[in-house]
Amino acid sequence: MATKVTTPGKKNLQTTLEIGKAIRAYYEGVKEAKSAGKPVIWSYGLVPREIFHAADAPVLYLEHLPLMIGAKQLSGRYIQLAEEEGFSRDVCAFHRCFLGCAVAKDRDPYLEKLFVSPDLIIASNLPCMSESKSFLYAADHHNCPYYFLDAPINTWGKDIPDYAIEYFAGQLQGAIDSMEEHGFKVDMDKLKESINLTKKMMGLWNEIDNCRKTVPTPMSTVDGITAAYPLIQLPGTQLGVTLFERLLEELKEKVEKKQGVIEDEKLRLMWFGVPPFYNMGLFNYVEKYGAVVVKSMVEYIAGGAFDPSKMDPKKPLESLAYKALVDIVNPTYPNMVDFIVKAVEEFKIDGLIGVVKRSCGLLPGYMRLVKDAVYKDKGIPTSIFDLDGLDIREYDDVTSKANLDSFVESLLASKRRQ
Amino acid sequence: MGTLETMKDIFDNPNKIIEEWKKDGRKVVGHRCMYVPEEIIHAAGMLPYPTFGTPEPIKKADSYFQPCACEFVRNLFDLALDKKFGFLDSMVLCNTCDAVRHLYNMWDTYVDSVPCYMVNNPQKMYDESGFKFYRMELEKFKKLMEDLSGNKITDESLKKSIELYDETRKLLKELNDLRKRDIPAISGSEFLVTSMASMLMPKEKANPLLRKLIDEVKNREIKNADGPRILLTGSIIDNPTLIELVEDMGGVVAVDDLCTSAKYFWYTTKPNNDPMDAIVRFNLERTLCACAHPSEDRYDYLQELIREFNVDGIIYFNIKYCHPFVYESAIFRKKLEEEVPTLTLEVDHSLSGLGQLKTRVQAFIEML
Amino acid sequence: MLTAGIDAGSLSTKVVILNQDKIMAYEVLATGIDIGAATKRAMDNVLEKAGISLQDVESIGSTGVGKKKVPYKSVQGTEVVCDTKGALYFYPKSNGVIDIGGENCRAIKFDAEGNIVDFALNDKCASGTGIFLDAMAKALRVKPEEMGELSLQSTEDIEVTSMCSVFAESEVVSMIHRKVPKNNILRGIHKSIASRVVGLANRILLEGNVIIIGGIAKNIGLVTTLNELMNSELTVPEKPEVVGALGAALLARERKE
Repeated sequence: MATKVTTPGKKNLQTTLEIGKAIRAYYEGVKEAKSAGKPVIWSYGLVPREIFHAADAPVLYLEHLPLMIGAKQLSGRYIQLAEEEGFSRDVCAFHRCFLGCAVAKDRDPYLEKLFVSPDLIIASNLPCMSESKSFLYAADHHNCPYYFLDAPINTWGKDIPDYAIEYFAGQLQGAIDSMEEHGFKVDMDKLKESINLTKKMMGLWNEIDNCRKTVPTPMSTVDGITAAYPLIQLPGTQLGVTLFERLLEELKEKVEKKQGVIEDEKLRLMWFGVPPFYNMGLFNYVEKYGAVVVKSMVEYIAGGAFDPSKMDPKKPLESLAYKALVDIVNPTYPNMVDFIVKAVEEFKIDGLIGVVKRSCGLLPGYMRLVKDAVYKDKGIPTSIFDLDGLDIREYDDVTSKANLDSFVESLLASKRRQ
Repeated sequence: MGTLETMKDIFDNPNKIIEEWKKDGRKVVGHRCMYVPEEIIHAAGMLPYPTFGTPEPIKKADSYFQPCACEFVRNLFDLALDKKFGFLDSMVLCNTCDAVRHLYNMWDTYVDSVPCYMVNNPQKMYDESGFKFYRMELEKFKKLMEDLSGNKITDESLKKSIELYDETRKLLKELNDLRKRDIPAISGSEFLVTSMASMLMPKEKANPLLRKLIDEVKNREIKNADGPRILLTGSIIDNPTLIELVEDMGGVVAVDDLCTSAKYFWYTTKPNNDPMDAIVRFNLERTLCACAHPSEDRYDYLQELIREFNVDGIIYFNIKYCHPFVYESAIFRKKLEEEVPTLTLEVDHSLSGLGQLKTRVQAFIEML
Repeated sequence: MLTAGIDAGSLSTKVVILNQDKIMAYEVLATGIDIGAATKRAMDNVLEKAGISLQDVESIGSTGVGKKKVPYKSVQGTEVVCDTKGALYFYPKSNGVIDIGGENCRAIKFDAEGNIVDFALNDKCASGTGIFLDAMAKALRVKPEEMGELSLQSTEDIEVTSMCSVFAESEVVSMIHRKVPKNNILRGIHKSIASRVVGLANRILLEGNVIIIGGIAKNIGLVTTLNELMNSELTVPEKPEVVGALGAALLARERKE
C-alpha cells in the first residue's frame, strides 16, 4: 500500500493488555509443545474448547490465527496463496487465509512464531456450514486424520430438544474418541470441572456487560473484542476465570469513578459483522463525533449470549452440546434477532452498524432481519455497508469512512431534531 | 406430439400441472432440495413440487439478502416476494447450505402467504446417531404433513409412494443410460428438460410418459455427436441454456451430475420393512451433494460417471457464491485433473455474461 | 439571512447563495485539479451574480468529497445529510433521493420530518457514475450531453455485461468494430449504469416519491431507463446539480439559527 490509512485500535483497559499477553503465551505454548514432539490439533468452527482443555491439548484455531495475522496486516498475502490454489474470492477470507498459511512455502517471521502443522483436525459445520469443507484441503495437504462434528441447525430457539442434545453430545464423544485414538487423553473429571469454570466465566461476562451498559461506558468494543478472547478460547479454564475477574474489577472501579471511554457520550453504537481486524482504529474514528462503539455482535459468539444455569457438571457433554446449539450464530434466526434487540435496549444503543464481508455466507444473511427487528421494536436505525474485516486488499478507506460519517451525522441530526 | 415435445411443454408450462392437481382440492407442497423426502408428502396425498428459479435479474431480494448470497437462492426469494409461489400450500426447505438456511429465515419472516418449514437433516452420512436424530425429525415432518393434508400416512401408503418414486428414478436412469452410447440417443439439453419435467409432474403421470419416451428414442441417434464427451457438474442448473451452450460449442454433454438430473435418480431406496427407516437410510447412506460429508463418496461417484459415460472432460458450473461447490471444485481439482481435464466456471444464475462463458467453453472443447 | 452552500464534487464544484428561503444565485464549474481554486472562482462568480460581497454572507456550509479543502470557514456536512435537506426544500413531499455524481452514487431514504431512515453509497467501483459515462462518451466519440438523447433512438436492446468500467470500455470498442449502431450501444451503456443504480436503491427498498439529482439527472436517457427499471416516476428538479450545495446552505442556516 502506498499510504497507510489503517490504524490499530486504541485500548483503554489494563486487563485487555494482559489478555493480549495471555494470547501470545498460549500460542508460544502450542509452538513449544510441537517442538517437544507433542501432537497438535487444528480446530475449525465452534467445537467446544472444553474438550481440548480437558486433554491439555495444544490447539491452533482457524478463526483466530487469521485475525491475528490480519491485525499485523499480513493476511493479504496468504489469502492470495489460497486463491492461487483455486479457492475463489467468494469463499470465506478466514478460510482462505488459513489455507494460505497451511500451503505457504515460507512464512513471515510473525506467522512462523504461531504456525504449527496439525497432527489431527477436529472440524465442525457450526456455525459455517458451507465453509466447513475447507478443512478437507488442509487434511489432504498435511496428510492428517480428521474428525468432523455435525451440528444440527437450531430450529428450536432456546429450548433444544433432548434428541438434538443427544446427537451433538454423541458427536462430541466421537471427537473425544478420535482424540484418544491419536495420542490425547481426555480427563473426564477435568471436563466436569471445566463445566463449573465455564459457568463461572459466563456469569462474570454478564456482570462485565452490566458495567458496559452504564453511561458513559467504561469499555468500548476495541477492548471488548480482545476481552472476548477467553470466552472463545479459554472456556473451562481457571485462567479464563481469573482474567474475567480482573476485568470486572477494573470496570467496576471505572463505573464508580464515572470514567467513560469518551467524556461526553453523544451516541452509543453497536457493530454487527466482522470487525476490521487490520484497522481497529476505525472504531475510534467515530469518537470525534462523540460517538462510541459500545459493543460488537461477535463478542456474543461462543456462549456470550446464553444462560449458564442450564449447564450441569454431571452431564458435561450434554451441557456443552446445549451451549453450542443455542449459540446466536447457529441459525435459524430467532435467537440472534431476539438477542440483538435486547442488547440494543440494554446497552442504550442509538444506531447499529452492519458490515458485510462479501465472502461470508453466514453473518450478512442476518443483517436485514436484525435491522428490521431493531427498527420495528426500538426505532433504532441500522446502516449496512461492505467491509471485509480480514482481507485488507478489499478495504476502501474513503467509502468506509464516508458511510460512517453519513450514518453518524444522520443520527446526530435526528437527535438534534428531537 | 412426440413425447420429447410433451416433456418440453410440461417444463415450459408447469402451471398446467398445478391447475389440474388442484382441481380436486388437493394440496401442493413446494420444496427445494432432493433431501426433502417427497415420498412423505406424496403419501399424505399431496403433490411435492420442486421449486426452480428463472433467469430474471434479481429485484427486491437484494434488499433482504446481501448481494454476496447465492444468486439462485436470491432468485427464489425474489419470486416468493413477488407471490409467484402463491399456489403452494406450504414450502419445505432442508439443511443444506448457509444460503438455504437464510432462505428459510427470510421466507419465514417476510413471506406470509406460504408457510415455510425446515427439515433438519444431518450433513454427516453413515453416522448411526445421525440416523436416530433424522428419524425424529422425519417423524415430526410426517406429522406436519398429516396435519396439513388431513390424511393419515400409513406404512403401507408410504411404501407405495417409495415404490412409485423409485420407479421414476429407475426410468430416468434407464433413459440416461442411452447416453452411454458412442452416439447418444438423447442430447444433454433434451435430457435436462425431461428430467426436470418428470420431477415437476405427479409421478403417476411421469412414469408412463417416461416408458413411452424410452421406447421412442431407444433407436435414435443425436446429430453432432463427434465432439468430446463432457460431464457437467456443480450447482443447480434449472435451465437448459447452459447445456445448450456447451452443445453449441461442439461438446457432447454425456452426463450431468446435477440436482435436476443424475443426483435425483442415481440411487433408489433400499428394501426395508420400515419405510421411515428406508427414507432415513436413502438420504444418509450416500453423499450426493457437495454440502454433505464425507466428500470421498462424491469423488468415487464422479469416477463412476467418468468411466460409465466415457467422459473426456469435466465442466464445473458453479453459481456465483455457491460455497459448497466452490470448495468441492477447488478440493477435487488436482485429483480430477489426473483423470480428465477439468474446467471450473463461475456462472450467473441469471445467465448474464454468456459471451465470456462461451469463449472459455469453446477453448476448453477445442483443447479436448 | 444570507447563506452560501458549497458542494465540492470530484468533477464539478457548485456554489449556491440563499436569501432566507430563496436561491439568489448559483454557479457550476469544473473542479479540475485544484479544489480550493475552483471553489474560490465559483464563489466569486456567484457573489457577483447575486450582487453581494462575501462579508454579506453570514454563514457557509460545505459538502462533497472536497469539503475539507474549501478555503472558507464553513459548517461541513456529508452529502447524505445535505442531499436530504436540498431535496426536501425542492420537494417537501419527497421521501427519497438518488444522487449520481462524478465518482459517487448514493440512494437515500428519509421520512417527512427529514430523519434519514436509510442510505446506501456505491463502493469504490466507478461504474454507475458520471465518470463512467464520460469514458464511454469518449470511446464512442459523442458529446456527453448528447448521449442520453441518442440512446433513446436505439433500435435494438443489447447488453453491456461488464460491470467494470475498464472492461466495459473494451467491450464497447469491440462493438464499434462490429459496427453495432452507436444508439444501441448507448442504450446498453445506460441500461448497465441504471441497473447499478437500481441495485443501490433496492438495497434500501427505495420507492415512492423519489427525486433524482446530480449532474447526471439531466441525462434523459438515464432517467428514462431508471424509470423503466424502478417501475416508478422519478422527479427531476429544475437544477438537479445544485441540490447538494443548496442543502449545505440550508445546513449553514440551521446551525446559525
